[in-house]
Amino acid sequence: MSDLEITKTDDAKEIKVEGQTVPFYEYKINDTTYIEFDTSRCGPPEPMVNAMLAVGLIKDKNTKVIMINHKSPAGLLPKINQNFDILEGTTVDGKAKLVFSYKEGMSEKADLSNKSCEG
Amino acid sequence: MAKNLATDMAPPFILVAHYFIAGAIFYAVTAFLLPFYANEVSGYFLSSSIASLMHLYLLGFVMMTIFGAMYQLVPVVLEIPIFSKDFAYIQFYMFVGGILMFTSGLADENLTQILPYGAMLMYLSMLIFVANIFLTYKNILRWDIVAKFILVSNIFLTIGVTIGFIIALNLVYGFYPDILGLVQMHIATTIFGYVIMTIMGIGMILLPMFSLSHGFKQTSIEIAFYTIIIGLVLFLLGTFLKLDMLKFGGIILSIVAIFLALYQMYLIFSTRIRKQNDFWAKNMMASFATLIISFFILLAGVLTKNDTYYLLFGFTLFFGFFTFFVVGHIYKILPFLVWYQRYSPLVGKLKVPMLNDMIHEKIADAQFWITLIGLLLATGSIITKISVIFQIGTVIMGVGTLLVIYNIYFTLVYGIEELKNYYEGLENDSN
Repeated sequence: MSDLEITKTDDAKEIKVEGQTVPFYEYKINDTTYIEFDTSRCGPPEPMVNAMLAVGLIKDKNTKVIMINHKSPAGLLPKINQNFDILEGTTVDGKAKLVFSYKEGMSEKADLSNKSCEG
Repeated sequence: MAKNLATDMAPPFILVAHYFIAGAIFYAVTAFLLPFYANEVSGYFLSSSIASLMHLYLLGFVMMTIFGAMYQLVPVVLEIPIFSKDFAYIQFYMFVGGILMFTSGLADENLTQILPYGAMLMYLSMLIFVANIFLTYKNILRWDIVAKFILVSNIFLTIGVTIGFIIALNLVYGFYPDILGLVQMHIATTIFGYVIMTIMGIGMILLPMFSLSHGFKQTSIEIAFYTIIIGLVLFLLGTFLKLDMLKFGGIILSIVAIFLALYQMYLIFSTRIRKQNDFWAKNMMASFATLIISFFILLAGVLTKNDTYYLLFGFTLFFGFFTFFVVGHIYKILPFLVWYQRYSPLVGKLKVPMLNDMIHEKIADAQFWITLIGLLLATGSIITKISVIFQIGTVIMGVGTLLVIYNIYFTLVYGIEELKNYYEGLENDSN
């Protein structure tokens, strides 16, 4: 099953991250831990802020972040696509769904302090 | 069309803040001058004192704020930096000086001699602005409907301010007899060609951004773009050649274009994800409602040739549509820019505020209702010609402007003390 087809499980637990503005949920499928959040009702800068906090939690290839947003976060992707593998798709109700995962040797180098958005 | 308001190519925040702060001050000054014009609302609407007040408002508040917003938005839209930031600072100071001299010269007969100098200063400042925009366009890589609107609106601005400068010189030196024709062309090119076309264009960026709308069709605004250009050109030709049919056709086409743009805004609003009616959404609804009302008033004026309708049209358009649209966006754009400058490096290190935290929502809400009540009273007084109601209404509108200024101050100083303590703490830790 592709990561884009993963949906939040019933036993997902809410986790707290300093600075988040929407709930973050954590759940496990097989050996992979997924951290999921939904900013589809948030205006800028909230999607980018939450995404930067969430991808900061990706420390190994067994942790992935799922972001649901009202559109593809055009300003965010160029900032972090060097450091994380990113899958893009849509949910059944037409929202953007992104899966961020660990990139060997690159994710540790991500500068997550630069939160300005471009274009 | 979905874009973000902040970009690394944008000018420093302080530049945009210059324009927004000056705009808010001119807004308040105009509002508190309005009650003194109570006896003029029943008179001839093209008097020099009304022209002075209208220029103070339109140049000082509406265009000042638009110029500031354009310096932020043009790099976002065109995805290239503005040609010269220095030009923008020079323009600002020349523009402020020009407005003060020009409006004083119009308002006070004893100061008529400074009117041409004020007009020249203002004219040059606007030429600097359009030159800055045109030179920025030299490097454009991608054309979209917003880029087209901005370019054409600046061409109309160039024509409009040139006509305005000729009118100002004509007022003093009297070399051209058809001043009314010039005034009509000046209004058409600056208000409709520049301000309204700019709002139509940047509305396609700002409205989807703040209402979280996407997936809407743009056919309506694309037709509106060409329709308003044809309408304005017909109106200008009809006025210059004194062909009333051409003029009337131009007016009709321009109104059609504005209603097409309104339909586009409706499409954007109908696909919005964020449904709550916050202070921004209320301001947008009020602005579009007053725009629709003002054009029915204009149509009544054209059909009946009654000057009261023209005065009413100008009042509802300027103090209704422009005020609600501009103030609503100040409440969104200013916190956005302050946030990016002040808080974006601190995400994950500190609990950062969200944009709505950086506006005093109750004050913004109160300001909206106060302004609306004041506007309704003042508009009613123009119809009934009861000057005391005009005074009460405009004083109420004035109170609204003070609340806008309070909220701008609230945003500008938001979190300064807390951040100062944070950075001092970091410095102490590193020592």
